[in-house]
Amino acid sequence: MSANGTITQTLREAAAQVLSEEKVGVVIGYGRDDGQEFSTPVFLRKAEEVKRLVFDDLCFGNLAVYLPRPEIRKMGKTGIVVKGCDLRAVNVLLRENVIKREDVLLIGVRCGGVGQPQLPKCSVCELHDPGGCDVVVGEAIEQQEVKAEQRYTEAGKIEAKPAEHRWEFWQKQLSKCIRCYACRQVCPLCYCKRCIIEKSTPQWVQTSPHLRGNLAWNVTRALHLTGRCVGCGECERVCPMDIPLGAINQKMAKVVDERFGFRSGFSAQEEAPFTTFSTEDSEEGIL
Amino acid sequence: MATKNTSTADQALIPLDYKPSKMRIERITEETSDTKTFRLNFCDADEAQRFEFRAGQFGLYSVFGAGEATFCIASSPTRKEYIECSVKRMGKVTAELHQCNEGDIIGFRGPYGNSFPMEQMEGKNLLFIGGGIGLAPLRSLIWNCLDLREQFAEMTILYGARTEADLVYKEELKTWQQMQDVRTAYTVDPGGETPEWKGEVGFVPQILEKMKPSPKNTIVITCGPPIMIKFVLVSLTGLDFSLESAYTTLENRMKCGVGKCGRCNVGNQYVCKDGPVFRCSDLQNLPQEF
Amino acid sequence: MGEQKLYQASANWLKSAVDALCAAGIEVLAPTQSESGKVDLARVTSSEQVIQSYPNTAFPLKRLFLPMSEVLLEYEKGEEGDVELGPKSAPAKELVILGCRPCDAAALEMLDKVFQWDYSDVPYQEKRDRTTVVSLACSEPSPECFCTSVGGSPQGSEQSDVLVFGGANSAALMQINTAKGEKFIERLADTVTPAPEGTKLPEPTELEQKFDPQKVKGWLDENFESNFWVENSLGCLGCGTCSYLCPTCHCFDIVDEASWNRGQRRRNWDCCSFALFTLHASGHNPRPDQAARYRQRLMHKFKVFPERFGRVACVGCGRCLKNCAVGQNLLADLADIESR
Repeated sequence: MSANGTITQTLREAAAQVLSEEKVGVVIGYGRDDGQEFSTPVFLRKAEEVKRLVFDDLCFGNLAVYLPRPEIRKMGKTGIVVKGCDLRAVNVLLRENVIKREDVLLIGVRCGGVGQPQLPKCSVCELHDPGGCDVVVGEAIEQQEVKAEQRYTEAGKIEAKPAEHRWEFWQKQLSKCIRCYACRQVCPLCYCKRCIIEKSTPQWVQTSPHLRGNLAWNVTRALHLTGRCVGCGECERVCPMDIPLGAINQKMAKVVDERFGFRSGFSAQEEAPFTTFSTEDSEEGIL
Repeated sequence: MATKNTSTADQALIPLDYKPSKMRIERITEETSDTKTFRLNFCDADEAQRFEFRAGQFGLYSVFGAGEATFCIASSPTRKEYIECSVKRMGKVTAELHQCNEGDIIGFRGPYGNSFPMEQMEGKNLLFIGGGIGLAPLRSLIWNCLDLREQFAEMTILYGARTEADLVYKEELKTWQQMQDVRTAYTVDPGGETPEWKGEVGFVPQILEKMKPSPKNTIVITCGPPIMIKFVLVSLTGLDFSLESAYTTLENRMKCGVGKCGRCNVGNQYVCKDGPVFRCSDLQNLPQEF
Repeated sequence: MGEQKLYQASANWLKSAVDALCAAGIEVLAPTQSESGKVDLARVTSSEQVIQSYPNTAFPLKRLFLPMSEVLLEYEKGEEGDVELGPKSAPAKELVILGCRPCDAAALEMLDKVFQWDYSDVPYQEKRDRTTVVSLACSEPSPECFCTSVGGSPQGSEQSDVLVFGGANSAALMQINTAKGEKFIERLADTVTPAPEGTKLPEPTELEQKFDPQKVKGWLDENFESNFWVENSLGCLGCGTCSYLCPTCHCFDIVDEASWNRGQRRRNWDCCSFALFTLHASGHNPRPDQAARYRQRLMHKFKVFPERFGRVACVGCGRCLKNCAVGQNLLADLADIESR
């Protein structure tokens, strides 16, 4: 059990303040109704609504997914509750000019980890304390040192298999995909107004949920997130078919880390490898 | 409104396996820079024999490999030797259709949907108001009525497009103009005319108001872009027309054409089954989601 | 059929039925558990693969009749410009579904209505005709269940050829509802016996009614335009999870997939939550935002369907609320509507 339980009250006070001072038009946070298995998004417009706000071990979601949405932006400046891991997604949105810093008010929560039992990503969290937020709530949490090899354990498990087993594994996993696109819709970084899968002239990716189409879709998704994915794990959490999407993302992150020494989302100013030209970049593979 | 608790138990179901009829493109007419009319013949003589439709009905035309798209049948049911469709190049299937040549084989399934109220139109004055490619369904009906001319009283055709170049069925527009028993008015939007243009200049509703047709014993059939329909209805009301005797067609994205794929409904009305022809007064009672 | 016939079988009925049917060369779908722990109906060849105790399967029956993706047409373009169309339909093989829940069987009623609406959908109907549905009555509904609110029952027999009562450890009572059900009983041979005269069905399992669909419809009738749609869809991500896991959602897309001179026309699941669903080629979209799409989903189920087919398009299985990525709760939304 983490210290998250005590944050709720301070969080409510912080949200009430920014709402009553009209610093924001909306605060996006987590709420919880009886019987729910996890804390769900709430959109608060008035200070008196903050009693709906909670922060606990079941605040899995990455609320940054709502930041680019037109219906949210219409409400004015957006206050948003972010854990360290969520902040990384916000940083990428800022870096990619999807949102402007002055249009968001970041309410950071010092998070000791979520999930019962705790999610694997939390045990290697390097941002218990979200830096650069406008408001931060919660007690300081001691930051454990995370070793490079700890970061990519899920990808590592699959890498350890022989190539033909990996191919067999992924065929089996991706055959399950029903193309509900929950992975895309929940991803804060899949903000394209029209996804490439929805483009038909030409039809880049087959929309049928057969293995061929599913491979094309999932590989496209992974590549479009390479060097951008912040590993929040939402895609894997929401997949109704239990496809281990996190392992795919982790593998891509690992490659980018090894090749470019880059990990996405630790700063809004960072220069991302795929949008930065550098003569220092390795050219192996380009013949 | 034609809302019914559909009971299928007591009526024969039509089996539908989604296999299209093969049709050969007999003739392609370039209407405008982005619209072509395709004249199609059934490859199978029996199918050609069996095929029947009513003006206003639609079909799903397919280019094998590109997919199906929905268009009305633009030819008249009285011309049984062929069917025609007019297609504006918009998306994947229409672009592929535009690539087709005379002699190529495409797919067709249909006819689906309801049709214009021919029975109610008998003995009435008919006022056809079309805009742009919206003339296609009207054309089917106009020729249908012309072929049965003695059944109807006065026939008036008001048609407009953005520019002269955007007018479709140009040869037929001339034919209708020359007919003694048809009144025509053709218009282009301001700025859409060339120095040689002899027709009207102005938006369709404006020309309608200028023409001042009498609402007496008249049925109006109007097809065109939604914005045109909207203002045509305003003008008609201003001219004392009852929207109960005005009809239009709706179009929505469709996949099946037969009320199953679930995307064309407006409220509880399925454009593919309850439409595409709707009485204008009924449309006003539908959720404004089309 | 006039009066219901009752048979009794041992507690182990599910496994013996699987073995009897498999031995007769009949395709059998029965509850199995995947590596990730999901219970689902899968093709089995032996009773060893079958599990006997589960609240409900992860997926409804829909995909067995309206597959996620199915080939409607095959074509091949010839040298001379001709086109060959296929495939020739193969005779459908008999299939028995064992152990679905009454709500999922009842959902077939809604699908039947759509797929036999003036036009009989051949690909659907072929699968429907070849299939025998043997449901397992619920004795312990899950917290997300609400079948009694939408006209169903944990012991509802609608569209079940056979409805089986009894837990994993007690003797089973089989209620035969159709001729297909009779045939199923014949196949089980001496593992089942007619229930003694006067045998009564177990007392119905209680499940509190959580909302009144009539009241919900009353509000929907008047509130196409309402802030409710905007407010309650703010969290909706616009994915297809709720629809794809719904036993009654049946929307589909038809696409062509070409490879050089040949290809297929396929029917794939589609979903009204997707922005592309109603987008015209012109760029116009009659349902331009998530609020409009969320409204369509609720309206279709609780207003349009009752108006066209006489009942709501929901069987209360609760999969949508259980699986929603952001905890969108249909039940809470309907309760909210009812309270307005």
